[in-house]
Amino acid sequence: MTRQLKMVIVLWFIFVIPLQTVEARHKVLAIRGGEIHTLSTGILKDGIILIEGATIRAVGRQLAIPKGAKLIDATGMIVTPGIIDARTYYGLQRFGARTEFIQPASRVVDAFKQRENSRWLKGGVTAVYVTPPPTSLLGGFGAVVKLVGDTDKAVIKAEAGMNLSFGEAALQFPSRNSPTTRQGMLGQLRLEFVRAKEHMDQHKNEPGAAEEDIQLQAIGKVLRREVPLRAVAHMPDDIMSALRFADEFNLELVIDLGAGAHQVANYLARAEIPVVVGPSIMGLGSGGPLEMYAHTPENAGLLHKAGVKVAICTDMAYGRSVLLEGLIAKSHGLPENAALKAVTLDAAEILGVEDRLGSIEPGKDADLVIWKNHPLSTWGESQTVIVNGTVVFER
Amino acid sequence: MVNKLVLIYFVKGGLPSVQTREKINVKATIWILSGICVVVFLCVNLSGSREKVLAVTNAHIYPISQDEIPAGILLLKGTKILAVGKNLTIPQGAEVIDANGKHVMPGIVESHSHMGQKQLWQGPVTHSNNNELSDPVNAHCLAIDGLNTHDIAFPMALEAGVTTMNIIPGSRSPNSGQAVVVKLRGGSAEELFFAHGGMKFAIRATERRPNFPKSIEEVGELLRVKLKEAQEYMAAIEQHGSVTPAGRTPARNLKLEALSKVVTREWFVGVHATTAKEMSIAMDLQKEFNLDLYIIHGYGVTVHAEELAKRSIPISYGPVFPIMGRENDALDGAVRFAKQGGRLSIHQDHPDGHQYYIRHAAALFVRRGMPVHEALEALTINPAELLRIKDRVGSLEAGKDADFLILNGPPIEMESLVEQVFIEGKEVYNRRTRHNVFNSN
Repeated sequence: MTRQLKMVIVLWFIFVIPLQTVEARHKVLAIRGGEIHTLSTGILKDGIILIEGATIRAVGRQLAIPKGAKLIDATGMIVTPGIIDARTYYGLQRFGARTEFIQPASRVVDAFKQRENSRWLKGGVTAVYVTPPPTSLLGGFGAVVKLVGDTDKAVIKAEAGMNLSFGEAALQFPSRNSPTTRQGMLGQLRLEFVRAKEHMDQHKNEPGAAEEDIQLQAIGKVLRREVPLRAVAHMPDDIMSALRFADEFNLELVIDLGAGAHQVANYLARAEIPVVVGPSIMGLGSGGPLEMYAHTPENAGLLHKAGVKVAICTDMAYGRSVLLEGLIAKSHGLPENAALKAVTLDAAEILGVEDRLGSIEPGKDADLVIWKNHPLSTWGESQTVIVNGTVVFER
Repeated sequence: MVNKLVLIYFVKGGLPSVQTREKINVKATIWILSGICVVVFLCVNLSGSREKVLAVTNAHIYPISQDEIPAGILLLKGTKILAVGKNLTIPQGAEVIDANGKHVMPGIVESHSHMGQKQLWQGPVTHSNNNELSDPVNAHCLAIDGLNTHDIAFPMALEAGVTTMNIIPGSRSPNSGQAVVVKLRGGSAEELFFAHGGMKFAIRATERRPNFPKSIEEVGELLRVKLKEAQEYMAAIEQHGSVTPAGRTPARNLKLEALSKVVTREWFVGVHATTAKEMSIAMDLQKEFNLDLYIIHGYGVTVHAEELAKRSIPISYGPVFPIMGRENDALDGAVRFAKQGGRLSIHQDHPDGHQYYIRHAAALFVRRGMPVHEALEALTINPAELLRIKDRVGSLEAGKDADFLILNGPPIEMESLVEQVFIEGKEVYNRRTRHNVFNSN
């Protein structure tokens, strides 16, 4: 090797590599001194969270904070994972638009636009499930998105659930030949799912083909349990129909909203079906459908008591955040820790994103909120909101 | 002998003649008359003390008219409050409720609601009785004539702690009619009736009907014209003793009669106005006719806060829940208005909002900087003053109606639940026993 080449190699080791290491150190964020609600390993008082890039690196009490790390002092504050709203219409363009009674291949990501300066984000909500509107029987794929970043970056799971509407919602928007009764709806669903199964078995080794196949392929994902069914159902009979249907085709099922879910809590618990409990105001406003008659703010508490896993949602595009719903559920019988879990880890599990969200653990996304007072109390107020390791809001 | 006395004294009238007097045993008469007096005296007093005295002790009381009393006593007799304080003597025989540290506040007065008019679950059979749309002016129509007090929303309102409510016609026409103030004591409209709720105007032009104004400016103009007609109507009656010159049959105009009461300030008037522009039009009407006017919704208060406070024009603000959350800075204008002495009331505008969360709405204001006692005033004494029923409700003071709530925590905390509701001394709701006066026959 020539002397010059040796020189270059030596200089490289002296300057370039250390510079890179220093750069990595600058991307470390340390939050210390707060009461950390990890949701996975209990509450850690005066703990430290180390974040590197967009991921949580470590959580503990005696952690060495690397030199050059950016420090956030959370003394006297509460730290929780970013809050998750398990069912919203956030960012959905042309809200409520419906073209077909059965449109399983539609995806909300194709109509999603990130909102700027979201009040939910400022208030500590970092990720939501965006649902197709319930006016189709089979409405398509809902997605899990973060409230920060353009569509490509914000969407963390494009096909996170298939929307299905039992009950009145779809029946109110009839098209030609659409069923007029509940048994008609179930009949039609069965036809579609059987067709999809046949299609799946026939085309096992072929990639996608005509448009009709795309609709059937979408249902195929549900049949193979790759995507859960998010079934909106309020009346006890609608919920039992959902259970029966899911059992028949061996589907993964979640009950959405479920005004009367507390009336069949035992069935749900036995079948291990989670419920995304609808907002407390559901059915109380102008012209709420009769099928929500059984709704009570005690719904989440009663379900939890029976052993059903619950998440909480607003079912709205904007307005009051899921934290207020959590507060209301808490004041009506859902224990505080369960209520916090319902808007963090349990929600993440129901949405199928628990590998990334919902708790403060090494390896998960660095989505965190620092609070003055408990987030589910009247005076809870977010002070700092962090998404993907970056501070996106500071009060 | 007594019969003779009665006959003489009461039938013939006056004292009997000397001869008759000699026949009557005067001593016995005096005894009998005294006996009657004693019996009457006893009857009056016994029935008087049959009026129940109730003492709520060991309570954290929010009288509103004075500072909070952390360990206080609320004394009531019959339908009225006897006293509120710290070291009160509890009369013998009084029923005592030990509140055990629970929180007591006056029953909530809601200044704006459509409960019973827009019924909670309307199918194809019933429709909204909220908006009369045959004509833009319906001053002669009464909210009480389109009111179903058996709507399921009423028991829910009690659970929320609302005891007095102003039920008001809708906003789709410039003048939708007269409101009615009710107390939620169960029964039909007559039993609930409490006071006249004033007139309703709306600066809003969303109705696409041929005889309706097409813009909010036209609405303002229509109302101005109608109020002027009402003035002329009154002047004509004063001048001629009737509407038309002598000789012609007076034509009673019920609409103008009703509007006259607004012009003379016999009735107050609530004006729906959401944007700053709509509020401007309402404020101009107030000035021109010197109306006793309050603004409904008032989201544009951000712009007009100072002027409204200075002119003592109250605002009934809402609905806040469910649309607004904890981060909504839109409430800041209302907070500023109240800070400058403006009288703010908070309403939920059932069914667009829901009074189940009326205290939550108040808490949202406190989060934006309003002092807690101001927020509680916005639920009680301010709407009472607005509705001209301040002498009866809105605070816990001697002589006022015994309408109060017992909560399991501070009323401003959203987590707190209303456990018991009393109206005029009678328990109308109990969370533990599920007793609700609207659900019993």
